[in-house]
Amino acid sequence: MGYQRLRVRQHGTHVHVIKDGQLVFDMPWEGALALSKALHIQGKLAEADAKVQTIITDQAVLTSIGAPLGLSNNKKVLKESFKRAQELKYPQVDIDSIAGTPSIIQQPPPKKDPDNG
Amino acid sequence: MANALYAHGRNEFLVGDLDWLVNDIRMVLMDADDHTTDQAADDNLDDILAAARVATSLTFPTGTRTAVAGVADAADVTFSSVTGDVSEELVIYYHTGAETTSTLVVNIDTATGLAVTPNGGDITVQWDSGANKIFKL
Repeated sequence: MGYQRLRVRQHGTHVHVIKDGQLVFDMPWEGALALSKALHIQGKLAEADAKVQTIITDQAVLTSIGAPLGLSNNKKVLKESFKRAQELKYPQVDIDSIAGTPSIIQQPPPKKDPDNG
Repeated sequence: MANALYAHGRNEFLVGDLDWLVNDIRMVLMDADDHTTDQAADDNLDDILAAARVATSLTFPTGTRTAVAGVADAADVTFSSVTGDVSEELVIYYHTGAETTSTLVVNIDTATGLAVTPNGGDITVQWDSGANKIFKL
């Protein structure tokens, strides 16, 4: 695989990325740290996509037992997990139901002033 | 759907940009025919078309608001002399004075008495007296 040919090396205050013997990145240490953080975040997002079916099933189980834990902040994933919980015939607890249920009280319309029709 | 917080509203609480006890909190009575709620994507008041806003409350009185164990509560809220379209949802938001920065906090589409057909009279929203009150973070 392509990334197996990559090598990452420290070179003084810089970091070098070498691919197939060719220097492809030469960046100061601050940039290398920022890049590694960004790679980690994007990698985790990509991992979540790759494991989406597992996340949906795990979330379905958590939702069903009422555990207030979200494995994803993706609404589509959460909705799918609710469907999965139904398929698995677990009792459902909607983790989004954290708002109360108010009552609407409507007053009668104002009376018309007989003098003004 | 279900009554729930908007993702952006949750985040504003999380990063300390929204204070339930202090900020100017208001509520809109909304006609769902004119706007389809997306709690993940809708973030500020400008996402709700003006045509969908049937009525807007005054500021929730700060002296009545409470925050206990992550549960938000306040005095009941009244929309005065409401006219307009049948309304199916309530939206609580943080009024900053600019629609583009007024954070949507809670969407309520399930309530006793919703949908409501305005008749020119007042409409009062009586908050849930159960565990979640208005909402729970």
